[in-house]
Amino acid sequence: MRGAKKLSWQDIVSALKALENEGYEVLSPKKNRWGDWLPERWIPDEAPEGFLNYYFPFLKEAVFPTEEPLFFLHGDRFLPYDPDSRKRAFFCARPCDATALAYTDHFFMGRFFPDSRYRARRRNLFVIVMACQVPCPKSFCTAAKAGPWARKGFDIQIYPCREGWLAEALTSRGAELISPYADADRDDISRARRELERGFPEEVHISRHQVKDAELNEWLGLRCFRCGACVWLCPTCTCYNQSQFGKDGVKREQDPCLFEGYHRLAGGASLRPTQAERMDFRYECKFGVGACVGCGRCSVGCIGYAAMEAYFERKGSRTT
Amino acid sequence: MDERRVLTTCIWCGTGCSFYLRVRDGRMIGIVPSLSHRISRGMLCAKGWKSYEFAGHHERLKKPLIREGNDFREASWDEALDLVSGRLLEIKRRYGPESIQVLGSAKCPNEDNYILQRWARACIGTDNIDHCARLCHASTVAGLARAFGSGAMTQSISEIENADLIFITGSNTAEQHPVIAAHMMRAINRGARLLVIDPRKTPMARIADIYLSQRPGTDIAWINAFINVIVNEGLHDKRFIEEHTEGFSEMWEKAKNYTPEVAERITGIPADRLASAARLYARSERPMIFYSMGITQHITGTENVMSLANLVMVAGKIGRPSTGLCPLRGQNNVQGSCDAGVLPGTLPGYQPNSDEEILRKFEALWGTRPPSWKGITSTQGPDAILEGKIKALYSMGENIFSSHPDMNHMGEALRRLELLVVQDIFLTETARFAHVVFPATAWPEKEGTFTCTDRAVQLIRKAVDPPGEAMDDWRIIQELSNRMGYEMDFEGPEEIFSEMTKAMPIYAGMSYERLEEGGLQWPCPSPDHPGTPYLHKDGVFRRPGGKGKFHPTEHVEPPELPDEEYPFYLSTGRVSFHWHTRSMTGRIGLLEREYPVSLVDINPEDGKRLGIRSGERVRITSRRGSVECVARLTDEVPPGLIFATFHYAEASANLLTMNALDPTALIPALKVSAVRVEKVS
Repeated sequence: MRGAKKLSWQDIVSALKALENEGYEVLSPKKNRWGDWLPERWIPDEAPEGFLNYYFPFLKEAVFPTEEPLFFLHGDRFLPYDPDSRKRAFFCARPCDATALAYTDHFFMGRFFPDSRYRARRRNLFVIVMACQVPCPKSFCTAAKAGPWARKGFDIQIYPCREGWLAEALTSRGAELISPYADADRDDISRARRELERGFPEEVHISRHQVKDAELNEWLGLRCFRCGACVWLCPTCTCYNQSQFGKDGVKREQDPCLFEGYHRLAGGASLRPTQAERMDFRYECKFGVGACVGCGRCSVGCIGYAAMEAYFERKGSRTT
Repeated sequence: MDERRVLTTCIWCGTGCSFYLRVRDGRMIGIVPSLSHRISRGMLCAKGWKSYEFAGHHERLKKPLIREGNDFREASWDEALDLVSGRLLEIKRRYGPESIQVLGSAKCPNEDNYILQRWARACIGTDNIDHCARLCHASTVAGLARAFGSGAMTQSISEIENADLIFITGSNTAEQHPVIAAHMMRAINRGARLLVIDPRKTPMARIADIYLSQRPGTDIAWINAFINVIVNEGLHDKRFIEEHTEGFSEMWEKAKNYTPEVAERITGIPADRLASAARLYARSERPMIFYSMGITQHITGTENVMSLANLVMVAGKIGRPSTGLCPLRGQNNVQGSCDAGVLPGTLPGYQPNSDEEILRKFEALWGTRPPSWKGITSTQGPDAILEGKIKALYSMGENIFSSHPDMNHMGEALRRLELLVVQDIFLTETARFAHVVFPATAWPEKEGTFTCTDRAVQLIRKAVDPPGEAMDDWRIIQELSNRMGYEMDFEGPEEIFSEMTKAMPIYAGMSYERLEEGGLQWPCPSPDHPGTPYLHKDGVFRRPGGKGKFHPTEHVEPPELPDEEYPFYLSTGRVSFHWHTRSMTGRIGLLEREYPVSLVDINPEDGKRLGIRSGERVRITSRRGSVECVARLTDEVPPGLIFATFHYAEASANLLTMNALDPTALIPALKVSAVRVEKVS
């Protein structure tokens, strides 16, 4: 952590304007006329307060889109599509989404699967987290250590407090952006965190040492209707498939692991022929590898009853 | 930000989910579900998540096509429109307007369907107008209109989560109406019981509290047995029956013979289990019955529906929230295209063309008197063509060659036509027979309204431009009409909808301005009316006199039963990853990957007996044809029953099915045929 700052709303406005002057497109959550939160170009208007919630994981989408064209045929050669790595800043990002970003960074920018398209977009993404004041439905981010404030994945994190806002930076570019403003005591930030945590009860305990539970997987498998929502809404899912784009191009698209085709090999054999085995695969990934940030989106979007909410409730003790 | 998000209504089933289409650089790049939407609440099925993909497919039709020998050549709009309008006028002059049949589409918005039927009736002068509701819920429209006075789902989807009994029959809800299944799951999580009666062990059957598997085609027997148990045990709602219904005695004269033991002999459902299920239904405070094509696609489809209506009225489980009878409409706008009058004999708003006053009203509105005779249905079409009665067929967005029963028969009929015009987004199997093909716009390229299964009219909004010279369906029809001498000058869908509100009392209070805020459920008779979440409130039915009508029903054996030569029952339907004839889902990579070949479900016992294993090729043969599919051994089907889809034209179950029709609704009996199964060596 690189220091603590005390900000007024005007300070935040000037910091965001500074980002715009650096060429960033600054996006912030806006509730539209139908009641849905979507990212829109930031306009210096009223200060955000209360519940700010992107249901769709737009932060992941900025670096790892649902689908993106990769190559097109030009003569006898495949040429790459531009990765669309414009400078973008997300203001009021969710702490869980920032935590998830740290996970996808590790996946796409680590040693094993370095992804140049992801890297190009991530380098130009500036993340300003707003610590959450209200828990999302069906979330358990406190247990996943991804809320109500983020530990990683952001440039700047802002905490609402009685006198205005407190800010902390995690990166040098974040520290540089808030350097002109008044210093705060680190204890103020600790107090702000504790204040927020009081509204976020830790209801579940998550362990990386998941015990195989065939009966649970069978039960969940019967209630998974294979919609794919848990993957398309998940801020940490990284699996993708490549397929045809247009007449002679190639695209990649996020690929739900609860679909049978995900596990199918050439020749038609399946690595995991039953839905119970596919449930096991998913939960092993989410808990065994630590790829769940407890955002609760999968439980909201699940058309059956097989996502995290069901998983914990079926566990009975609400522990894993 | 340069990404636009356009709120719209889903194109697949009749649930009416809503989401934002994400558009960048004129191309759709994904979906964001609408968390605030009354029905979908942030949920979508796999098809919904990928619904944007087919519209951008490179095989979209981009120019009009005119047949030349065995091939097509591209043509200008003027040439193609002149050709079609001229040929239609010539056929009308030579053979009369009754020689022309027009088919609408439940995939198209209300406005397209309304203008199509107006063109058919006012310009051509034919009542031969129909659409795919004939294949799914024609028996619902007929049966519920007779029993309740309104052929639609009596409740709202948002009421489901408060039900205390979810009772599903003849519906694979989790796969065909997944978001409605999600509402059911919420009810179950709140303590509701789940009762499923279906020959197939569907995903909902697997998690049911009570699951009963009946022999295909025996629904009247078990429904009458329910009534028998309820009345004999005094569980019926005597006050409701006396005050709000008529015809109970006549109905009981039949139902009293269907004891659980009699029903067991017919259906195969053990008598004690059947009686327990009947008691559970009668004793529940808020039971909701859901059904779909397992009830409707029989020669007794209308009687099946009326039997369910009898059951609901006997128990007095209607007219209150979270009760009632819920037909789950299959297509995104099959409710709306029925509302818009794309049915023979039925003018927009379910107003019969046999009523002189109604004919006068439409004559004043359209400037021409619509026909007062009742036209033929799409299922009667092939025979009428082969008998020489129909000479020209105009199809807007229907792929009848693949979707109708007995494809060989349909193909023979299509080849016999003097003029076949197809208006569609892809060169479908039916379009390949056509003399002229018009390229139409797909759903993300249109403005308009869809009406979902719970009668909510919702806006669809244009997100992208159409490819090439593809034209809106309503505009193609208007262009043809003007060339044929019947002038229409609508500026767009909103103006057409405005006329619909004048023509249809159930839509009278609606406007695009109101719909912009959210859906409105019909009946909505005035601009200050909030819409109607559930019908028949307090037992006041929409029939003349306000009373519900019992109808006596009697079990009839299906027209074709298994025998020595064809020892299996065949039931047909869809899978969750494909839509109907696959013209759209076959062009969505991820969905196609999930279900890449035509599978036939066979019980493992039958598989073992016939020496067939999963993944092996099998030949299915009926009296009408033969197809080769890949076997999938599963206990989803009981021994003696196989299940196949009509998704793949080359291996379609509709090469096997027969065109035996319900005599009232003229819906084909697609759920029961007799077939034999052989391993392909």
